[in-house]
Amino acid sequence: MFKRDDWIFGLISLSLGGFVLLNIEELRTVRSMDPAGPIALPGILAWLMIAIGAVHIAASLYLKLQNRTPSEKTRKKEDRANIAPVCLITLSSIFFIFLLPYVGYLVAMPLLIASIMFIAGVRELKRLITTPLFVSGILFAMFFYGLRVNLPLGVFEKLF
Amino acid sequence: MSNFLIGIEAVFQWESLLALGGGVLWGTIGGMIPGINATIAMALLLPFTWGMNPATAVFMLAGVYCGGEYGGSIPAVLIGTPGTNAASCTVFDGYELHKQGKTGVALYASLLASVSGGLIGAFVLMLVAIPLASVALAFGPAEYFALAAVGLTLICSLGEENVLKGIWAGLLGILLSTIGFDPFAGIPRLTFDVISLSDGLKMIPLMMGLFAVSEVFRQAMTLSATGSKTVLEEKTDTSFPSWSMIKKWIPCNVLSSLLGVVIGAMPGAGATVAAFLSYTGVKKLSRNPDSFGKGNPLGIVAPESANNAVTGGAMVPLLALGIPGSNSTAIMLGALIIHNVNPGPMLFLNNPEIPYGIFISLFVANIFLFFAGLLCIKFAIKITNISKPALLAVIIALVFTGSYAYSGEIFDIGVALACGLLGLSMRKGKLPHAATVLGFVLGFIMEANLRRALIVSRGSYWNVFFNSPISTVLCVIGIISVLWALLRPLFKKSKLAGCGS
Repeated sequence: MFKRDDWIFGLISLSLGGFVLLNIEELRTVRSMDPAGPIALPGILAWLMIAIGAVHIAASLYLKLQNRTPSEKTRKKEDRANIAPVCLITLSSIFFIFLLPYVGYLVAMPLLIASIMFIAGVRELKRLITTPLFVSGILFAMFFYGLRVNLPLGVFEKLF
Repeated sequence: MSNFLIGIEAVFQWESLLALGGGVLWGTIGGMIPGINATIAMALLLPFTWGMNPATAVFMLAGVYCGGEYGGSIPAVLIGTPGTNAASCTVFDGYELHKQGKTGVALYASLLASVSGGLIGAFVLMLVAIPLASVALAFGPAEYFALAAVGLTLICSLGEENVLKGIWAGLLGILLSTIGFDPFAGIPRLTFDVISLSDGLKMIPLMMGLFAVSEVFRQAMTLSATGSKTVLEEKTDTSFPSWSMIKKWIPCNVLSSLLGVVIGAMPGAGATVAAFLSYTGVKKLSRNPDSFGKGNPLGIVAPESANNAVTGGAMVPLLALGIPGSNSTAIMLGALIIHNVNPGPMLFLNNPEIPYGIFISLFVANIFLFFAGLLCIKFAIKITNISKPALLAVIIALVFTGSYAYSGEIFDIGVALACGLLGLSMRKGKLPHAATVLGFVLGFIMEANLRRALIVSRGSYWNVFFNSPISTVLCVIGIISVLWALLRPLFKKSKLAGCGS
């Protein structure tokens, strides 16, 4: 059930529980019409997370002392090497989020699609231009005209 | 009987059939688009009903409702992104089957389960509309809380190797559901002064982030690991499943549909809760519970039967009492009011063509759904031919557009992205993100009803849990379920030790 590296999960769980407890502390004085109040559930959840975290840290330390399970260092090194596309897609998405209100959907979305395709290994320029424009056009037509969603227009504001 | 003939006459007119068929197709397409659920698809069609007669308008909306509840399962199977909240459960086994190349089994299991679930729901509605309404009214806050708690016991079985991690993931989901304005005190909780968080996290970006964005990240990592940037052509079987396979699904389909009708009849519960409860139930009753989440067709049949049977159940409070039990039926109620029709028990006397027509239209809509489903599957299956890098980019584009469309806030795109990273970390840490979604779905229902029940019982927890027979039975089931999940690994260990000696 437990693994040697579970102490990482345990620490995250402890930190999250503690963080929630600290943040709900200021609500302790709020009066509510129900006996439980607004902090009861988050408080219970935080304590349960702390308990689960503590169990995992203890189990992990015990296993480390017993040296029972093999280390997963090799797999972790591989994972770290493969994390690059995740970081790049995340950065592209953050860039898209910041760009969207200023340049609009019709400019930001093709850029995002093209960048993800590039990160995933596409190098043909023709595909990197046509696919993003085609997909963005279809999505824009579907949501803007079909579903009447007010997508950000940015630089094209005056055209629509 | 004469009233049923009035209903049949109202439905079998060319304009009603056209509206119903168009509604089913629109609903299915709407359900397929992430961010657009049955309710939104119905709301978008509402202005077009103004020129219609009231019965035709309601039949069309009933068609959209049926189509919308089904449509979400197609992207759930093909790209691991549920089109609607109610299709979240379908991802677990549907996407697994697709990855194994059994795309046809997954897509047709979902279609057949949805159609038969809808038909069973319509049949039950016709028989027990009025008695079932009184059962639904027997559910107070304590019973709703107990029902949600039983649903949450599923998180224990989602942990696979480590039950505690399953529970932790569920707790995280409940914690995320507490973000935003407190339902009773009206003060912001865990919002960190971010205005966009005061309304709480929305289900669509959270769910699409956890399921779809994390899957894109995982596949991008796989592409990077294999070093081959070319597309791997995998053979997918898109054929219709055999009768010998389909007949094994029938008991699960019937049971899940009946559960779906009952859940649908309860105001506020809805298709997502029905799908999760049905999935839990079938998994627990199964002789091979470990196969769920690894490509068991019953993992598709159970939630899809239940979420489509909900359409019949949800009509119960609407038709019998004039109370809309869900957002979708609230829109139908709105359509009736727009057309100067007074909903409620008198509807059966004043406008019999509407309630009896709805009974009949649900049957016809589900038959149309079969053909609309076949058509949509035929087109959607082409997704499997798209190259992997392009597919990953399209999924991200669809998720981000869908997240924005749902609320009109760019902040929700950020939520989808953050949930994608959370989902990836959870996959790496062997934490079941399905438990987080379940916790999020049931968390609000559980907290709001527990606190309501505490007000009624004047702070007595004992009265909340064990005052009524329904809540007592549900609480006992919940406790046994948790204990069983916690103790099962110990039993397994001692059994293995016994075998070894």
